[in-house]
Amino acid sequence: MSKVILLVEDNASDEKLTVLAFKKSGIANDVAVVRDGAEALDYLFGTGKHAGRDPRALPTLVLLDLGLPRIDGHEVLRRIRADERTKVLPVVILTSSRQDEDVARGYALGANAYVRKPVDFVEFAQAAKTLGLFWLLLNEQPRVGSST
Amino acid sequence: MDRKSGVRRAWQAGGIAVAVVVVAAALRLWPLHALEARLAWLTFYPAVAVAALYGGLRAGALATALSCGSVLWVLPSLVGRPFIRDSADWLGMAVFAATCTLVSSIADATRRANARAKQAREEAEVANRELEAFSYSVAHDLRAPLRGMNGFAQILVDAYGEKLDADGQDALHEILLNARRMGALIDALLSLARVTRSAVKIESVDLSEVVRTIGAQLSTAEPERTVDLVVQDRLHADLDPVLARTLVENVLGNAWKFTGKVPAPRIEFGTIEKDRVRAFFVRDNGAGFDMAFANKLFAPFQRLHTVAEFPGTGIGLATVQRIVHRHGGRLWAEGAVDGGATFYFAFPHRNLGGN
Repeated sequence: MSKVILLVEDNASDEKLTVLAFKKSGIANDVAVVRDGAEALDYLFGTGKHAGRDPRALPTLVLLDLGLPRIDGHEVLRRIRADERTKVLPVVILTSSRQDEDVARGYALGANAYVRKPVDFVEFAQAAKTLGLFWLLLNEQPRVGSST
Repeated sequence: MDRKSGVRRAWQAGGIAVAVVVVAAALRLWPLHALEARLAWLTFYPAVAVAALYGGLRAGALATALSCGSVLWVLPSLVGRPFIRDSADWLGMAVFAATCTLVSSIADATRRANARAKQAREEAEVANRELEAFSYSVAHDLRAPLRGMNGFAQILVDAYGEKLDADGQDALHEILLNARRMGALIDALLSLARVTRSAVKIESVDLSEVVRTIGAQLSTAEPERTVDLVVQDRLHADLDPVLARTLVENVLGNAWKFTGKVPAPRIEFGTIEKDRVRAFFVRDNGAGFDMAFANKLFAPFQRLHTVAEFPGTGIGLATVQRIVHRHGGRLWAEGAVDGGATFYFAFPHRNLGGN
């Protein structure tokens, strides 16, 4: 089974850059992109627009932006943690904000990491590489969704 | 809505005035009946003061008028004896009326000042929330397009750089440089906003220790530079520890940067007595500045050197000034072109806890 990264990102440029950054650092995983918080939840739980998707096939990693249309990133994270199926799914907040409140709230809601998107693409690519290497190769994943 | 509540308040004030005067008059009948006509105004002074405190100028004036009426007509008719008999009693009444008007005006002015202060506080809170929303949008929304510009320019460099001639490559690198610089400006602006918003928690901070720590960090970041850092020991100040760190980072970072082109860079940290105030100072032997522009040093985005000479955002010293002001302190600088610069900062006496 290939490891999918779910990228929750409303900004098309940021989406392209993130995918390019992964490619540049040799991370060959499929990246599924959803454009807002509601769609992210639909994707994870196989509802709405993603009704045909099997909710047991969870992504390996969720990269979550905070400022999202419809349902914001914090609320998406809260709902992910509130659901038995996605309670332990690795979620990394990847956002422009470095506001102390956002960081604190992200961790309080159960984020696994908080990464600020650098403006500089070289740094951004480096961050994407580090993230990918750690979460996809180094880190041992809990067996989510398939244990029951 | 506002008008209705105004009318209600006016009725309340009138009610208070009537009630306190009735109580004051009743006290004359019992238990103060033994006073007979002596000290006619005794109970009415406090009555007017109470009415003015709770109801303002109008309630005070109404209570004064009602008191005069009580003493002139109501009480005499109840006890069958006049209270005002000779010119001394009339004088007493005049003094009463004048004093009560004065007391009412003062009470009213105090009430107004309190209301104004409350309004100012509320307005400041609103402004603060707006500033917060503003800096959030700066952090989040302005950085995203910037990242796009920088990112795609970088991709052009990486993938198509070889197909461009030197001028084309140069232009691309200028785009990258400018995007990076704007990113740094946004970050600096945000940190300035954070200094304004964050709560100040005062503790005794060993500034000498902070200076040494930051100095070590600076020399780790630029290991090729040797700077002679002279720190006076155990200089304590009562400051917010987080803000104190930011202050030292900026003042010392500034000195570090502007000594970059002198042969034997030297930075000193210590205290001196200036105009009978103990002030901390950071002195360097770097590029210095023209005293004619000293007033521009602490204004945000004002720089006295070009970015090519010394890099920077023009926010650092503005941040320092804001931190010093938030502690009720004072900040000033002395310098000369190529003669180094000295930055002084002094805090109110309670902030200084020398050791």
